[in-house]
Amino acid sequence: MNCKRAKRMISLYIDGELKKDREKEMFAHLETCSDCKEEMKFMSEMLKNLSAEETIEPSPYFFSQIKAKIGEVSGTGWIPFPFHFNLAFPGAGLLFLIIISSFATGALLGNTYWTQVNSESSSIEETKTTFNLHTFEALPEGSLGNLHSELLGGA
Amino acid sequence: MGQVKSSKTKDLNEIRGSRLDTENRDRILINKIAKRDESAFEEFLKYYQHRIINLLYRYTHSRSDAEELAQDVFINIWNRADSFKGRSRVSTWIYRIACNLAINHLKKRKLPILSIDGYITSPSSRIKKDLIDPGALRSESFTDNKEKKALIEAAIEKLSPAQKMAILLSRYEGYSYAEISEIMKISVSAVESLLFKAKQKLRTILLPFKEKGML
Repeated sequence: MNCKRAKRMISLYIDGELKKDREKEMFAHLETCSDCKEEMKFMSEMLKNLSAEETIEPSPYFFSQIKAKIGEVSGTGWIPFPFHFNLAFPGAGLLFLIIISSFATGALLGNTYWTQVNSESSSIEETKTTFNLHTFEALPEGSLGNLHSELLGGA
Repeated sequence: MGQVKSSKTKDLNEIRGSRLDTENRDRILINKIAKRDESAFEEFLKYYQHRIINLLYRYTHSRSDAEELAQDVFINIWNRADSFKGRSRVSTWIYRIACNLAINHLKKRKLPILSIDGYITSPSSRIKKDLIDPGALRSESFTDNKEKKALIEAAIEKLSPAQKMAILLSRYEGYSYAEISEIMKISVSAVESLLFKAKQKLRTILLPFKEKGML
């Protein structure tokens, strides 16, 4: 066996992956090769230091942070971009309905601008009839009354 | 000898039995998670959060990065639980997700692994600076095991993202080559080669320290 192959076997042996029949072969080489024997010792010691190490504890908020992130993505918090359009159309429709219904309610209650104008002109007419105010309207041209008022007013 | 062998067989059967129980438990939980069961998700998280965070912490050496990546791992599980086909073990699937996210994270970060600036702020900056210049070693620097470990960890930082992940899965998580090949989605011989090259690289980096009697 050459050293290149032996080094491959050392790597496998350290990781517990070398088959039993190959182990004998490897150890037989190590008996005769000081370089490979040194490699075996060095690798074992180097990797032994890796096995026991400090660990960290997850933050107590770990689960709640994940839930919050999932919530953001699924739409309970942040609304994904395309959904803004979906909400815009019903919103505009609702506003239109409110405006139309407010006009309709006003018309039904008789308190719109036009009903107010109509009722105003009819009340003027009523007042004129009650107090006979039509008599104060312009006198016929060439009549005595007209002449008298012209003399008095100078118009 | 026969007694030793039979007790070993018993131990192996117990391990296999407990693995089977764990797998059954995990599959039940994954099925529930696929149906959006939050309590199953919370239970699942309790079993795996510690292992995943620590794997990612060893990989990134940053608590905040490890927690953020671990959160992404579990969000992936929540979102993709219904796509789990059951071809591999649940734990293998989770480690695969974690492994992919971690390797991508390290590739994206693109920091020079052993630049002087990159190590000044880290806890074992002195050791890492010595790694750049082994000739400037002080023998009194490496008297305890803690510093030896820090030195080896700094050497691991010089490995490629895939070599680093393979070393962590093998040495810290105790996974076999077959399991690592499933997690990393590469062949067993590729795992073997990856780990061999990683160890040879570590040996090259650490040999000067060894020669000076510091390892």
